[in-house]
Amino acid sequence: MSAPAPIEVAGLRKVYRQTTTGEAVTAIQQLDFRIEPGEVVAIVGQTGCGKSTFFDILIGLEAPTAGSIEIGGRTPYGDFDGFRGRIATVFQQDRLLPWRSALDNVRLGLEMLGLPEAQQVERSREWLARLGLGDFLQAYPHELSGGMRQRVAIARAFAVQPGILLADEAFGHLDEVTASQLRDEFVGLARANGATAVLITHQLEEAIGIGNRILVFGKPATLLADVRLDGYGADDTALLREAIQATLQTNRIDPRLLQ
Amino acid sequence: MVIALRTASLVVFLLLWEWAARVPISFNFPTPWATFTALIELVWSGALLQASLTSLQSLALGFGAAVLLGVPFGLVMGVVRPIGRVARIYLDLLIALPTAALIPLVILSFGISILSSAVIVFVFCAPFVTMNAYGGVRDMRPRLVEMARSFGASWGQLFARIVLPSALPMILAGLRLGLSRAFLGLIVAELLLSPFGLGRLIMDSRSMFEHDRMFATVLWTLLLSGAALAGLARLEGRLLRWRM
Ligand SMILES: Nc1ncnc2c1ncn2[C@@H]1O[C@H](COP(=O)(O)OP(=O)(O)OP(=O)(O)O)[C@@H](O)[C@H]1O
Ligand SMILES: [Mg+2]
Repeated sequence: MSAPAPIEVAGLRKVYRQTTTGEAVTAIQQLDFRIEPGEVVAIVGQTGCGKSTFFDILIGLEAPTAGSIEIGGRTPYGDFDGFRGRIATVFQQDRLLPWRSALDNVRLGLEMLGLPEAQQVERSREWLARLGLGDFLQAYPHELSGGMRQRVAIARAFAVQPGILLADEAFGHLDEVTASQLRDEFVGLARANGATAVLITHQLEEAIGIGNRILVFGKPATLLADVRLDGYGADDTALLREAIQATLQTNRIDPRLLQ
Repeated sequence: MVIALRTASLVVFLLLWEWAARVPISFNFPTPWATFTALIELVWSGALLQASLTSLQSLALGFGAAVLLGVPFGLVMGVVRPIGRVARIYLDLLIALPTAALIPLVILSFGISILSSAVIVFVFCAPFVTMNAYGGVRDMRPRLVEMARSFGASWGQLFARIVLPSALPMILAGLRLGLSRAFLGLIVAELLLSPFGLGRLIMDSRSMFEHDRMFATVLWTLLLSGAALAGLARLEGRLLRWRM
């Protein structure tokens, strides 16, 4: 695992220019917050509010229009090579390479790290086995079920042993049983490895179920509410859900979330 | 079942041929048997192999150049969009136009030689090979690129691990299409130029009224291109095993 470092988001703003119309689209209005190492954070927000855009900047695929994201004092979009192996993402669709076996799909991130081949295979095997796919190393993605494919994608992310794990609606398209099982595994493994985990989700139950903290994004993204879950008991779940729902609907923080 | 059907269709085909030869459609139409014996004779005398070798030389030259230049250029067109947008106009034109009309021009520039029939083969197949490689890159799923980038892929790794394998099915389909076009170009060129190769053999036997020999050569040419295409299809099947 790479050294744990906080994620610091300051004055972050992202405006896209549409290629066809030339129109400016504000994807992120303004974001300021900090995520401590080892935290498990859920992000909720309406569709199109800029959640994936936030991840794109965090991964280093996009540069912010203004403001910054710093991880351990460095910016992923400015130091792409320096962040190789430090952040890994599980996407909404599994995004496996159809021409590669499960094992070779997991190896992908390790190839980028330039690990010796024997070590790549060894570690990929280990992670697939840990996710219950020890018997499917040579299977191609189309031979696996949706849940199994997403397990391969999880193995691929964990295999690079990143300090930060991201999941962008990674479990939403699966049936509820599989989804909650995989989500628990994802969070459990992140905790066991001391990694920071950030999950984007549409399901409030999921957000409340997993983490230490829920960030509620407005549209376009601003931080409407920063909910620390340790302040609430198990019987506050219904209240929390209603309050967050109301926050999302009105685009303004619900008074019940102010302690 | 498949084998039975294939055998049956072959038998029907031969019967139709035999019938066509007996009916006085054209009194020079050779029977399957006459064609077959002529074929054996031609193979035995070495004339056919000699001619095939010459023809395959132009084919290999023209098709080989089309693959070696067309595939990389198509990939560049796909990756560097402005180049693609300009180049595709010319390629579309080459595909749409009756390329055979260029043959006199080619002969004018290269004379009557193996080289000029190779150039004609190239003109016939290169646009298809190139356009398919280009299409392969354009059809790539951007989400896979984004995924690979999220794992820190460099541009080189991105090309080798994502772009090339995604484009491979289209590239191979392009090679198959290109090869059949290459044979077409070869025969057209040799029938027109006809100082050598299979085209010469066909034209020679025609002018000597040896219609069985002419037919045998045509049949041989068809078998040759069929075999080459089947070989390529096999290679394709092996490289794209993951799609099965
Ligand atoms: N590359 C891009 N070019 C132009 N506009 C973009 C681009 N990427 C995203 N956008 C726009 O930015 C806004 C935010 O998009 P984003 O994908 O971040 O939303 P999201 O919160 O992830 O939505 P969802 O929950 O539906 O996944 C949208 O209006 C979208 O159209
Ligand atoms: Mg999204």
